[in-house]
Amino acid sequence: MSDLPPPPPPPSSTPQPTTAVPSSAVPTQPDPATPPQTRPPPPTSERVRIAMGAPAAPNEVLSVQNISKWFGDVVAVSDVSFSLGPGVTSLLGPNGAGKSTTLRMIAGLASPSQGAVRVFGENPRKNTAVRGRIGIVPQQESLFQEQRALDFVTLAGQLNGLDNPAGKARAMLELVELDPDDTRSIATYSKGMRQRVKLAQALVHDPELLLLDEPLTGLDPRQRIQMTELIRSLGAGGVCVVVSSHVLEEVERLGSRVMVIAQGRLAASGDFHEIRALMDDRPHRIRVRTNNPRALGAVLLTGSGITSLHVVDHETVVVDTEDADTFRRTIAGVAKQANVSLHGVQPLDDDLESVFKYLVGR
Amino acid sequence: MSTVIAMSKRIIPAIATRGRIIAMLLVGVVGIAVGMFIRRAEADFEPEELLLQFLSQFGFVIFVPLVSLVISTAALGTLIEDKTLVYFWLRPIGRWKIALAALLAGLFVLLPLVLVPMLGLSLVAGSSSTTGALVGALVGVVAYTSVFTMLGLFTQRALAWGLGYILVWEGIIASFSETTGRLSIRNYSTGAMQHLVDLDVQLVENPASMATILIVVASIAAVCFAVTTVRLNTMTVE
Repeated sequence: MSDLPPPPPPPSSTPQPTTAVPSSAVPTQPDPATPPQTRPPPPTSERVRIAMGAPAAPNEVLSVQNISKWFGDVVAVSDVSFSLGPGVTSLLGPNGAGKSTTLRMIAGLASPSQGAVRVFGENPRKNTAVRGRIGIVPQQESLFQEQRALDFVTLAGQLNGLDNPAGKARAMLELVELDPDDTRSIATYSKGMRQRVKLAQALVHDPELLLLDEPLTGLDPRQRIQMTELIRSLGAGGVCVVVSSHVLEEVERLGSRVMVIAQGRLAASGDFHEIRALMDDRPHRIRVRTNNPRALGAVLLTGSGITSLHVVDHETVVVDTEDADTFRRTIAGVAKQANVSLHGVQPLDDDLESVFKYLVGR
Repeated sequence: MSTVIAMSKRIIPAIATRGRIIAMLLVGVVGIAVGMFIRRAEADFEPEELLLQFLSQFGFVIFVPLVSLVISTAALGTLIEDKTLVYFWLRPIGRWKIALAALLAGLFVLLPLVLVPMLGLSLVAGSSSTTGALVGALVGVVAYTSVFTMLGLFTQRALAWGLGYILVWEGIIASFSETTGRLSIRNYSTGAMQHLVDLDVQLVENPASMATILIVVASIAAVCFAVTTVRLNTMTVE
């Protein structure tokens, strides 16, 4: 537990302005919530074999320049650029948006079809030393099934050249709330336990860049809270943490800056709250069920904020509005004014997919 | 070297599955059983030469390449298939160490799996063939392991491609002429045995000298090792 960095500072009251990002833009994102801090250096023995590459700019850990990745005719990532320093950054996007591909290119596991990735100023695919500064939790569940968790994490430490890999592995397993003395093989572990083993192996060598691909998948609510706190702490301690997620609430809890990726493009970036507002401010489509849609529609059109209205059948009207919150607050009163019964109000485009499509189309 | 051994230790359980070991041992047992049958059936007609021919044909055309194929293609192929290669690949170590670890793991499993049945078969054939059979098997195992470990990195259908190579190239094309024979591994493993058998038996036409055999096998191993390392450097890892 002594490896835990101090808890994160409270979120800044002056978040960065949020922008929908043209695909060719290069947003540099200092962490608004966690000013850059210097991590205590790891023991010299652990780092002695790692030649440090000169970073391109102060505090810049990661630089992604106009990367694209395509598989045959399918474009997975299209002209994405950003640079990151210490702190937590979330890649938010629906499944298949290109998050994992982006993470894999950052780690060097795949090469971009176009563009360049630099980690600490170096190409992670070609520079052996840089790989020792990266930790990754891949999305796939696969682990060395027949091993004990302690052996698996110890191996990771050994391959990273640690002096006492077993000791460090024990500490990391305790950090993720697993029993280092568990004699069972990983094959018997639940999905959540495997997820924590993966995190332990990613942390065992004190990486300065930590890439987490859907790290909260499979965890129970208590474990999610614990893992979220751990990720926040690492970011506050100076680690550049990049987390991919398709769950908005997860990203919110991480209190991080956010990059929205949809259809392979960087659609927006900035502080979470600004992204949230951007999503909420878009036009919304709402289905209202009533005993008299025409009467309700007539009254709705006399008010403001309704951009279009369509009576679908004898009990349904679909409304487009730019102010969904106001609509939800006032619809009951409007129904009363129109002297109709209200049977249901249902948003039709509140799923993340619709949100991301909107952001991409802006 | 400790990192190489550590990785080898992880690869060995992945390739030495119970099913593979039992299946390969069964092939060896079948060979020994056939050898014993030949010895009994031909007891009155100088069985040594016939048994040596059988040992050479079964051992170096079927058994050694087949077992090497099944085990060696799994050394890196399994890591790719179950997506655990990333846990080796994303470490600050040279890729050649991963290639070496896979090669060593394959040899560690294969040597007893091949040499013990070959020893049994040579004892059935006659003790004069024992050294030749073991050295020939060793030559074959090293060469085939290098080739098939590399193959496992290039395709998920390594078993099918390898089987095609064994049957078509080593089994058919290599026997067309002396020239094509020189391009087959079986020629060198059989040649090594030929040099060390006491009896005046022709197992292969004009076998290369023992020094040439060792140089060729070392060259095959070195080239395959280099190609495997380059491939590990340039491949996309899932």
